[in-house]
Amino acid sequence: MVKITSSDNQEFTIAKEIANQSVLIKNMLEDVGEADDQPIPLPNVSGAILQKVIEYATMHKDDPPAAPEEETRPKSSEDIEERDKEFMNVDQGTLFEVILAANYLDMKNLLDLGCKTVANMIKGKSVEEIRKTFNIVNDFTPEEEEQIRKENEWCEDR
Amino acid sequence: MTVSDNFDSSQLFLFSNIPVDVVAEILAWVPPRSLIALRLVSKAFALCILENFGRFIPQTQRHYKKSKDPTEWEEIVFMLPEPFQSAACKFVFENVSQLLWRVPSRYFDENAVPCQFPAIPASLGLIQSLTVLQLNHCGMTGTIPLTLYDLLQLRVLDLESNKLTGTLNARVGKMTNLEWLLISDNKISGYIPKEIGYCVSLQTFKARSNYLSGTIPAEIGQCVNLVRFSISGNKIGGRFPPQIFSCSKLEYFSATDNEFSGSIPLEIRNCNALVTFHISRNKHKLHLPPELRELRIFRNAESCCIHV
Repeated sequence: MVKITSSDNQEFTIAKEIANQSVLIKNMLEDVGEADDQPIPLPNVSGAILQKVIEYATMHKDDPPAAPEEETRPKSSEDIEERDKEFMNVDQGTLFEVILAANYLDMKNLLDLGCKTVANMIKGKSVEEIRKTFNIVNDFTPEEEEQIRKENEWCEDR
Repeated sequence: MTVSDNFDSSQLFLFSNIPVDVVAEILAWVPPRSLIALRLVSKAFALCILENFGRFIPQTQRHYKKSKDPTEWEEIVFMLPEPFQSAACKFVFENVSQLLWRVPSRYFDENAVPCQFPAIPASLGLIQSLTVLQLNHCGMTGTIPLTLYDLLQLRVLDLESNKLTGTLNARVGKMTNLEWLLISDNKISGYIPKEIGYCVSLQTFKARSNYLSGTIPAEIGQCVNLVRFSISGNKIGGRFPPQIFSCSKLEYFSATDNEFSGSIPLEIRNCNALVTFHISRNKHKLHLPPELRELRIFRNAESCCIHV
């Protein structure tokens, strides 16, 4: 078993095969060796988010190792397992924090899942819808907006 | 492309400080048209898209594969507004050495990509790795962009059978690796620039059926590797410069349907490899000096189209 602590000092004890899904933790474990049972501090991840990340890692602990990607086959962000969709059905704050945690912990599958989820929130939406979805304020003047709209005309004809 | 120091990606989404690397991971899943449209969302988005554009192009979309199906990015890259086009061009076509386009109806080469552009995109000149550029039978109008002459690695430039106008620019002289320069069946006017003489690798020059005028520049004699030279169906005149016959590898010379006059230079005797010499249907009578009548190519002057 491996002990990890979050930024707010919550301690989690997890199985090694779960911990190893994080390349960061895996490398740390290899560096300190088996003997050390000191908890590994993860100062960039809160307890709540770490809980979520562990949930993901537990869900995927029996996944077969990723097959070498065929470079010719284009990947799609629609390509998400149902259980992962369910897992990512969270508020946006949590979603971005999970993405940041996955980036920090170096968990490629989780990072991909988070990024695909955000990309799907962007794809096929109008600019106004995107602003609304992500609560972004339009800081362009009408003239600036008109100028960019003109330059962008070609992308609306499909 | 580098991230500028004053770019603050935390302005993108309200929630967290998302490193631009992660933003790139997200936006790499977004198709090109939606990606460009994001410029309109906010100033922070506009800046982010502008400064990091190349990073948002997924790796799988970059390398031009020898396949019939261009990737989504390849299809779109030359339609992007500047400066995105230049940025995308460098990434999508990084290290690409051959580019072949054709209109769908002329789709006989399995490596060719259907051409959908009304004119030659100037940003092609940014793909410095190109050695072969074939854009023949593409129905393209407009002029040859000056940027094409920046492709200094180019060995083959094939623009035949389009509707190109304008001139062949003097900058062609920079293209010292160019072996094949094919511009036949267009509407190109002006002179053949004398700088063509700097194209020391040139083997084949074909400019048949255009509106070229002036004379054959004497500097062509510096193209010591010249094998095929065709300028039939233009308005080029004057005398044949003797220098062109110092190209000892010359096998094929065709200048029918032009406005040449005077006699055929005696230097043609140096061209031992010459098998085809077509000069019929010129405006003026061309004179074949008696010294040349014994040459193999002139043995039957009638059949080789000379008004003796």
